Amino acid sequence: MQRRTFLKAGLLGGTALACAGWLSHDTFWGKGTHLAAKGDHRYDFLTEADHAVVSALAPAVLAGSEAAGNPKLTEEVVHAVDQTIAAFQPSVQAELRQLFTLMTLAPTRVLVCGLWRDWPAVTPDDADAMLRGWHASRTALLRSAYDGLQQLITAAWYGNPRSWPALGYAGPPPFHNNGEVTE
Amino acid sequence: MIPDPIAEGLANGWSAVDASGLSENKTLETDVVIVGTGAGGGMCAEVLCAAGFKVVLIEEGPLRSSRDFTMRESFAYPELYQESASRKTKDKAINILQGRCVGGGTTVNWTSSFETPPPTLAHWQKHHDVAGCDEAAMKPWFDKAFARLGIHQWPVPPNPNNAALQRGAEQLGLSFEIMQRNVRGCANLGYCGMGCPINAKQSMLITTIPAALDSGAALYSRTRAVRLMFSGDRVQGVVCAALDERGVFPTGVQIEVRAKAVVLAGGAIGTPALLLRSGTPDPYQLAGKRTFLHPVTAATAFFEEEIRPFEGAPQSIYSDEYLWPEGADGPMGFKLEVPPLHPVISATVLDFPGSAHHTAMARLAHIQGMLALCRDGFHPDSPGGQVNLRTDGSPLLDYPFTDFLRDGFRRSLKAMVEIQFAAGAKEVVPLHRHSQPYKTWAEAKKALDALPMDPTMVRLFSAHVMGGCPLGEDPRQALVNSEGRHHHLQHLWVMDGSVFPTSIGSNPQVSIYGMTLKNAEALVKSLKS
Ligand SMILES: Cc1cc2nc3c(=O)[nH]c(=O)nc-3n(C[C@H](O)[C@H](O)[C@H](O)COP(=O)(O)OP(=O)(O)OC[C@H]3O[C@@H](n4cnc5c(N)ncnc54)[C@H](O)[C@@H]3O)c2cc1C
Ligand code: SF4
Repeated sequence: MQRRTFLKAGLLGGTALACAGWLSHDTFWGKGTHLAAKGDHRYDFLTEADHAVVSALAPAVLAGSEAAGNPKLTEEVVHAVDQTIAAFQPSVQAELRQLFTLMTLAPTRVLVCGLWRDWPAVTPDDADAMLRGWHASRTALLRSAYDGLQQLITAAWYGNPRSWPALGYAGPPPFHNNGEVTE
Repeated sequence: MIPDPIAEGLANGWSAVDASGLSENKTLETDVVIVGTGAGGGMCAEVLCAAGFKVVLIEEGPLRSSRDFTMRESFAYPELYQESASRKTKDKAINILQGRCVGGGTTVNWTSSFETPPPTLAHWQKHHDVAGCDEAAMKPWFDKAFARLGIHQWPVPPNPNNAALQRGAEQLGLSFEIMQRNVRGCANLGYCGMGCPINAKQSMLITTIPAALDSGAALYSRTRAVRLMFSGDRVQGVVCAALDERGVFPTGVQIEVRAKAVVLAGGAIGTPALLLRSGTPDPYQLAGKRTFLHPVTAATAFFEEEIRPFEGAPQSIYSDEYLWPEGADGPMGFKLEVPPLHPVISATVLDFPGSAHHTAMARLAHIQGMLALCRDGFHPDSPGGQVNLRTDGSPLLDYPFTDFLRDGFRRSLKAMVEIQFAAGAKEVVPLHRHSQPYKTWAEAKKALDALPMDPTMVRLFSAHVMGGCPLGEDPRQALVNSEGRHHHLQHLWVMDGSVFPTSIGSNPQVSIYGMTLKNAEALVKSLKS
């Protein structure tokens, strides 16, 4: 992934995002209209195609953490992202629907994410390069799309008690506020 | 096992309905309906009930209590906060924290307690035609709030996170003070932001709301006030929509509450949005304008010793050294405080792409945080934001930056970084998209002189949303009078953080309690006459 693609993506990203509002209402594209389902994880927002996006981004966002190299933990992260979005108010869910549409349709994926390969084939290095491009983008929309995805994914992992030992955080003190010890 | 006053009250037959479970429309009649159960709604409910009025409380969020407060961010943010703690301004530059549950912001706030600063009251009198709110007039109401909520200076030594602010201030010869807190029997746990698990925090959830319910008030949770009913110049009640269990989509069930008086206490953003949706008279188009945030800049510092910023009373030290640099209406002043840092909140504010993020997180126990509440709304170049409605009726705050704000953000970041280095930090990261970990004050200062203070570049937060429905005697600049009564609609009152004509200049809860206690008394008088 080249720096030039980022620049192009930066300039066109705004327009593409604006168009995605219309695209997401169009079932013609037919892609990813089925909610994901993985084992006992029921999904309420992410489609199969969106699932592949978050699964590809999570190891890059969480690079160096236990979740990055562990498919089972990555799946927990993706599911927590889904549950977080499902609790957002409808207008914010609609915005994220636009973003995911933009990221999953092949033409906009190439244009805005600079990714020629489809998400299941995206490597953590590809994802990292894309994310750094968005982080530093001159287009405010891409910067905030980065922030949104970064916050969803990091919140999903660091809200999970499995991430805590690596932080030197033992979790909340054990406490009898509900008749049970919380840990 | 910790006693849970909510569970006990429910067992004793409180009238409390979770509207997500309703399958049929309802119509209620009452003396007063209060929309919102936060700082303003809670205080107002207690006063009205004590005066013998029949009250219905409407709350969009859920009724939760200490038995649910497991001190986990993954529970607290989606359950207890507005938009899962991810509410943002229109340009996504400022992340806004507001409560959305019974007790509103008071259920999740950090317990720091200040009367309205005298320069703020004086500024309102001088520039906003606010009457009867000078220091002497307000004192009895603040005293009442202090007594009701057990507010006192925190006697326990600060945790290392707060001690660093004190140490840095001492080193540099800056002023600092010890925080006052609304707690009784606080165990110094540090989880105030997730709901106090032992009911030590004297939130509305465990004080005024149980008192109101004990005296017969009815509470509808998961119930959103959608629009006001009015005819001519008289308000008649409010139409509400039941929300589903997650509080996301309306279920289709409608609750209509007819009342002799309506009190709006949905907080800033929430109250102006309800007025805008209702199309209530607003000849000078004031609703939602002049919404203030105390925009917060922040800096994180790495210390060699352990800080453990997730433990201990979240805020115990503050500094007002830079709060009034040239009086109230000079360059933007800021108040310095410390935020608690739990894993999720830290992960979302530490902004390094790639593995640098986890490297920073792995040092969480050594991170110290500092924040600056920037005092907006006192200067003509700080006119605040505007609440608008999205097509679905939900509010969206547009908060433009000005050079006046940019200057304040830059100075505040420098002030914090200097204090952190003075306190012994090895590395400091002022929160900005393009900042780096800086090893010396000189290096950080140079960087901060150059970094652009633009939207989505400098990282900004707000836990103090104020204004949008200002009070004052002049209808051309105020929507309600100095007692909270609407200038154009009879029997409509506003008692929450939206009534302030500027930001407060300190954490706002006590300002809301005091103003509400005063104005609820005026409402009682008007209902009796
Ligand atoms: C994390 C955090 C920490 C804070 N720390 C401090 C602190 O240490 N000290 C301090 O002084 N202040 C603090 N604050 C701020 C303080 O809590 C708020 O300023 C205060 O609670 C605001 O009171 P309010 O009555 O205006 O509104 P809120 O307390 O926000 O209550 C409004 C309520 O109305 C409900 N509502 C809104 N619209 C509708 C509608 N249409 N229908 C039905 N219900 C509706 C909301 O769900 C909410 O529960 C903090 C806030 C947060 C979020
Ligand atoms: S610090 Fe005190 S008030 Fe806050 S959650 Fe812990 S016990 Fe409750």
